Amino acid sequence: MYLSSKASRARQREAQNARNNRAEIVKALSHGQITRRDLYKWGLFTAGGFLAWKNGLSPLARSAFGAIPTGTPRSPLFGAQKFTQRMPRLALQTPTPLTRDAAGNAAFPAALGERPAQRLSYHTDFSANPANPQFRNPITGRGPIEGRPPGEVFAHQRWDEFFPKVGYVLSIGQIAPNTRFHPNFPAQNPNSVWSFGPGRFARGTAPPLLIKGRYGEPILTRVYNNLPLVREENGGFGRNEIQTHFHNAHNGAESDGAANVHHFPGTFYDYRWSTTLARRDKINTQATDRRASGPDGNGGLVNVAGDFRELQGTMWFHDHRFFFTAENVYKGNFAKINYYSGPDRGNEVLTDGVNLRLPSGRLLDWGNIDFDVDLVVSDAAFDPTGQLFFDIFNTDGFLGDVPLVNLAYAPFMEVLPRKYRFRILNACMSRFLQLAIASPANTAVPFKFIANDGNLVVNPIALTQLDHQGIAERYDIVVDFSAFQTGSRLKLVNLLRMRGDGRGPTDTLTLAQALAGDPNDPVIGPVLEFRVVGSVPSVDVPGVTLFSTTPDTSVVPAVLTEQIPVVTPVRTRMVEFGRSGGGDSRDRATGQCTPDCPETAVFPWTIKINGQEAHSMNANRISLLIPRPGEIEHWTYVNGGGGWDHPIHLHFEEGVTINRGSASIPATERLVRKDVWRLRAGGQVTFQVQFGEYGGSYVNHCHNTVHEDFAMLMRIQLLTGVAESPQTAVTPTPNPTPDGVVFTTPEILPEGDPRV
Amino acid sequence: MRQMHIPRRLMLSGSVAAAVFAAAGLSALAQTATTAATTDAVAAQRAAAAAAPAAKTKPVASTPDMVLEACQRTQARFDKFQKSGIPEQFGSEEPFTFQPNKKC
Repeated sequence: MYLSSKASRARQREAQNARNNRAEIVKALSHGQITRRDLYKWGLFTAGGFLAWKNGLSPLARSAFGAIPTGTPRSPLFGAQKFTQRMPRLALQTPTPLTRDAAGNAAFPAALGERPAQRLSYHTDFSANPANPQFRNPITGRGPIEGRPPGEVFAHQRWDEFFPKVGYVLSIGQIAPNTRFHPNFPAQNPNSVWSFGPGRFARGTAPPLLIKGRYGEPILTRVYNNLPLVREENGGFGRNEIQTHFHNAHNGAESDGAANVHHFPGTFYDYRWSTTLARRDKINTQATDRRASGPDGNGGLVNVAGDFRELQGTMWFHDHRFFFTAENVYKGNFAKINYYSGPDRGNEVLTDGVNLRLPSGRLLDWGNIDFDVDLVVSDAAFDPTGQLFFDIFNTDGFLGDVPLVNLAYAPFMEVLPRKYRFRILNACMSRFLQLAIASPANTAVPFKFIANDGNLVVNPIALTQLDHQGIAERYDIVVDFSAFQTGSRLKLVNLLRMRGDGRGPTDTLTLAQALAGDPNDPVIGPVLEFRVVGSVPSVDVPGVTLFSTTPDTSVVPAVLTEQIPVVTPVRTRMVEFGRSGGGDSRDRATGQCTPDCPETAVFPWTIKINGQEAHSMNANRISLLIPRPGEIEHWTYVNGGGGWDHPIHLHFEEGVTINRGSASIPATERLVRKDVWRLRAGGQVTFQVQFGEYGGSYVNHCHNTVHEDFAMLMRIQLLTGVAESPQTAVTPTPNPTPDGVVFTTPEILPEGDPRV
Repeated sequence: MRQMHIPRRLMLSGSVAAAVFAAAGLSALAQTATTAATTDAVAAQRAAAAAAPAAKTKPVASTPDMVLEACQRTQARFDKFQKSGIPEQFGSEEPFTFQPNKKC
C-alpha cells in the first residue's frame, strides 16, 4: 500500500492528494455537510458501499503513472534514524489501597477525592433520581456520572467474594504536550493521540501504562473519559466514546468491556478486575493447591480456588467501542496488565517448590521487571506534518509504515549478558508479525518460547524464529544474551511480508532478506536493537545499578505447568468467519446500527454459526448461547474465505487448541491454551473450551480491528453466572446514550441456542 | 491527468445537503428489539430473561460433515485465490460440491 521510497515526487504528490481527498470526505460527513446518500449519488461509493476506485481518491485506484496502485505516501521521518532513541519501559502504575466502608463500598483514600466504588452502578442512583446533580455527568450536566448501566444486571458479580483490595484511577484523554514518537518527530497534537494517563484529569501519556496484578488481590479500575465533548474534534479519526476491554482475564461481563457499554466524555466506568482463577467453582474449590495462588508480598503465597493450569500472565486492556475499536486503539487507547501467581512470581530467587524462577529480577518480592520486559510492537503512519494518521475508509486492513516498540520509533534497549523474558504483544491494527533475533553476525539467535497469550506452555519450546503473530496475540520468550560480549548489538527483526491491502500475510523472508529491508514496507526488518552492556539501572528499585557480574540465578524449568486433557465434549459448534452473505448490521428501515456506526461504514465481514445464514455485528443479536457452566465444548473456527487471514479473539475464556484439521499445527499451539487463533488463509482451528464463574454478554471477533469494526464480531450470551444471579438468564442489551442507558430485548439466533 | 479535487465539490454540495446523521449519537436504539426500549432495568431484565429458546429449526451443534464441508469450501476458495491472485470479494458465493469422503 505504501509507495516505495524510490517513488517519484509526482507520484508521492498524487497519493497525498488522494489521501487529502479522503480526509475531507470524512470531515464533510462528520460535519453533516454531506450524506452517505450523496456519496452514492456522486458515484464516490460503489453499490457495495466501498470507496470507488477513482484516481485522486482511492489508494487502490490506478495511478496516473501506470497500472499500479496509487498507494499512500510514505510517512515522513524528519531525519530520524533507527536505534537512536532508548526504548521506554512501560509506565508502571502504583496501586491505591482500598478499604471497605460501612455501606459495603470500596473506598479510595480520602486524599484522592474519589467517591467509593459500588456494587451497583451510580447510574442506578441517577435513574432513581435524575434531578440529583450528585449523580449527573458533571461536565455536560446531562446523563449519569457512571457509564456502567443501572440495575442488577450490571452490578459487579460476586462483589463480596472478590471485593477489590487495590484501585487505580485512570483517564483517557488527549495526549500530553510535547509527546513524540521520536525526538526528531514533531510533537503530537492533543487530538492526534488519545491514551491513558494516571489520575482523574490526566492527559494521555506515552509509553503505554503497565499494571501489575496478582491472584488474590482484586482490582478496581476507574476509567474516566476525558475526551473532547465535540465528536468532530478527533484529528480525523477516533470516537470520543469508550469501553475498556480487559484482554483476556476472567471477569464478569460488566467488567469485560464489550457488552455494548461505552460511555461518554465526562463520565467514568468502574471495572472490577477480579483476579478470579478460572474453574474456581469446579476444581480446587477449597484452595488447597499451592500452585493456585498469588504472591503475598512477604515471600509467601495466598492460595486461591481454581485450576492452576489456567493461570494467566501477559495481558492487556484496550478500547472496544463497537465500530470504532481500530480507530481508538490505534489512537492510543490501550495499556498492559500482567498477572502474577505462585508459579509465575516475577522473582527469580525465591525457592519454595512453587515458584518457577523465570527471568525477572530479585529486588522485589514479586513482579520484578528488571529482566522481564514488555515489548508492545505496533505500526503507525503519519501525515506530512508528522501527526498520527489513520485511513477510516479502509475495510480490509490498515498497515502503518513506521515500526514502533512501546510507542517509540525503532528504539534500542540496553541489556546485561544474561537471560531476559520478553512479553511480546502485537498491538498493530491489521499487521501480522513474525519475529526473530539476529546476532551481531546476522545469524538467528535461539530462544525459548514459554507462554502463548499469557498461558504457560507445558514445556518450553526451543525456537529460532516465532510463528506468525496475529493482532493481539502475546508471545512470551526467554532470550539468553550471556553468549554475547559487552558491546554486542542484536536486532529484533520482523520477517513477515503482508498483502498490500492488509488482509493478511503473504510470505516469510529469510533473516538475511529481512535485514536487507523492503523498500515497499519499512516495517519489515529490524524494529528494535539490543545492546549488551556491563550495567543497567534497575527499573524495580530506581537508584540501584545492576551489573553483568552478578550471577544470573533465573531458570527456565523443563516443566512449566500441566496439560489440560482433551475430553469428549458436551457439544460441538462451528463458527465460520468470512465474507459471504450480506452485512446486516444496519436496520433496513432506519439504516441504524446497534450501537451507532459511522455513516461511511459498510459491512463486508460476516460470521456464520453451524453453516447457517451469515450475519455481521449487531449488539442486540445473540449468536451463541452457553446454557450452563462447566460444560466442555469443542468449537471449530473456519476461515470462510480465500486469500486472507483472521486472528479471532474469544473473550473471557481461553481454549485448548486441539488441531487445525489435517493441516500442521506448530508446537507453540498444539494443546496450548489461547484466546486469539489465527485461522490461516483457507484454514481452520478446533479448540476445547468451557465457561464458568461469571455470566452475561461477551463477544468473539476478528482482532484485525478493521475487520472487527466492519463488522466481524458476534455476541455470546453466557447463562453461567452463579445461582440466582441475573446472569443465569438472557440479559437485556444496554444501549448507551448521553442521557443514560436504554435497554432492549435481544434477538437470539436459533442455531446458536442449544437450550431445549 | 488532472487530480480530482473532490473536497471542494463536496463542500458546495454539502451546503445544501441535509444533515441527516448529525445527531448519530442519539440513535443508539436497537434495531431488532422484540420489546419496546426501556430505561427500566428491572423490566428489561425480566423481558430478556423470559426469552424462550427459539424453535429448533436449525442445527444447534456442528457435525463432522458440517466442518468438512466448510473446510472443503474454504479450501476451494483458497485454491481459486491462489490461481487468480484475487481474494474473494464481498458477497460472492461460488457453486460448490461437497465430497463426504474427501479429507480436508
